[in-house]
Amino acid sequence: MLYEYLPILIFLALALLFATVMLSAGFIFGGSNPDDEKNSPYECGFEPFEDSRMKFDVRFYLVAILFIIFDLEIAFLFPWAVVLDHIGLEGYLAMAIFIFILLIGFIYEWKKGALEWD
Amino acid sequence: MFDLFYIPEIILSIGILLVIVIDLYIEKQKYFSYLLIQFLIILASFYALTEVPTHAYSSYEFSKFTSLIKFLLLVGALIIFHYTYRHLNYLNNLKIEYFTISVLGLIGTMIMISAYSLLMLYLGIELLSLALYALIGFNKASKLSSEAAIKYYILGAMSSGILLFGISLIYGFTGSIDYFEIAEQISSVNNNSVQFLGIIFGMIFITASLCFKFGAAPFHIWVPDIYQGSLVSTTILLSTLPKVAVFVVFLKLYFIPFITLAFIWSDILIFIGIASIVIGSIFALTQENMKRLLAYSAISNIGFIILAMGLVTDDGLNASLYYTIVYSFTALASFGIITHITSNSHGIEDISDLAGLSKTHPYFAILILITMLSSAGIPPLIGFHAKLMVIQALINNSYIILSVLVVLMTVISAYYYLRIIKTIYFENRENLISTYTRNNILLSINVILLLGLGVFPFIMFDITSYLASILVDISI
Repeated sequence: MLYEYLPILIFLALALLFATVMLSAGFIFGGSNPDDEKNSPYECGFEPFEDSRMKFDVRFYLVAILFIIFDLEIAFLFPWAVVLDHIGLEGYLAMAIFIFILLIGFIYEWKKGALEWD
Repeated sequence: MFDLFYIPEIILSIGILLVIVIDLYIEKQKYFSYLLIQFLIILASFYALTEVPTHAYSSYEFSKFTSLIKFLLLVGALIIFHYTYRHLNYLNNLKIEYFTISVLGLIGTMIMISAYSLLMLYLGIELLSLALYALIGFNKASKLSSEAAIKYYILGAMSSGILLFGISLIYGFTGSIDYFEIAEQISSVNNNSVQFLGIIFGMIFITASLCFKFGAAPFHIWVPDIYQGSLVSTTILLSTLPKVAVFVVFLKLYFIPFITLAFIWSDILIFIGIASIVIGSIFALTQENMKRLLAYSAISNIGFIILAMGLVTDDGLNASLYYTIVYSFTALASFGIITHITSNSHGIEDISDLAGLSKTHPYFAILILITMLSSAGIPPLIGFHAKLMVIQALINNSYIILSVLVVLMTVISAYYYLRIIKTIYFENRENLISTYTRNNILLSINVILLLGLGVFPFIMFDITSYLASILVDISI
């Protein structure tokens, strides 16, 4: 029973080894030349330390929402692809209709200019 | 396979996708897109009336009853869109998206009516609610509108969660989500078992959630705020179509799967009904805002409908059907008039804004007079017959004390309806009301129907008793 988990143990050991080797190699052989900028935590597009209740561009929300819709579509497509040979033509058509409706949403957002930043 | 395309829901869903795309390319001609949507609704209502599809799908039902109710809803939507177009055009807030979202909500109500399993019911309710969240927040210039949308969104999401919890309990204890199978399971369960307790628990959760959607008393807090915050055109939509759909859902749920539990839900519904009538009538007394006042009036009207349904008798069922149709008619008229009256280019908000209407617009003044008298239940008008039927059903089932209470509340509610009339006819003010039209034929027909059907009440009696008789056909 426990024997079946052996591959996972081997995987964990390999991952640990790999990470240790890479990190220590960088630490030992790489040059070190720190300054203030390099030591500060990095975050894309924002100042790292300030009040969290700041204003930021509403277009970020728009992009995030548009992303979520198409991301969820993938979440539906995966289980559908796995059972496709069981659900047959009916299942295929159902997904085709679903994608078609999403396509209309995509045309709508494109035409309305939601994908343009400026 | 191909008669599938004559189902009104399919016509509307495919058509509305086309309208969305067409509207993108002819953005300037909004009137054309609007006409296209109206044409779609007429087409769908035509197919709702003609031959009922013979297909039987699990979890979805077509019958004469559902087709007729769908026809009523589609005609209601037609009239509401007619009012809405002119109203939004006047407010410079016209977007075709308003209509497309409304049609999606309309499809939601039709799914609710035809639903024959709890999950299909949930799907319909969710589609309707999502459309309403967007419509309530449509007036982006107004803070109240956004506030109302967020309030409705949070409360609506919570009530959907409660509904799902109830559904999962029912599913867990009966092993089915199909109405008929649930009915069979419940009738074979021993009254003292744990299973029975679980089913009742689930049923009460579902009841609470549906009462929220209905706007009935212990769950009514959202109604005035949302009515006040949204545009008047959204308020008409909120106060007519979803109410009819939720009413049908109530009927189907209680008279098919939960019919053997009638000795439990009867008391619950009677309590909710009485509480709604009392709260709606008393809280409306102090309202200064027209829309809030009509919201409380809607709560008390919903109370009458639920109270009549809670009697579990034929005359109670008839009375609640009658009351629902009359209420939708009256709400259509009263909110319809308000969409036509604007005070210096914004909608009427306070009752005092209406002062002097009889001098400047005697036509609208008379329409409001008739509508308000009908809501108050003054004899020759149809509102009287609706209230009479409910009270008669109460007396026939020997709820004497309750019927006295209901009559008392009707008298109290007459005060605030009459106050509106008093403001219109006996008060004056400086800056007078402006309107974008002097009259509207549909509105006049609507109000004259309130009077005409009141003088000849048997036309409506026949329609509702026919509806009630074909409802019995489907429930086993």
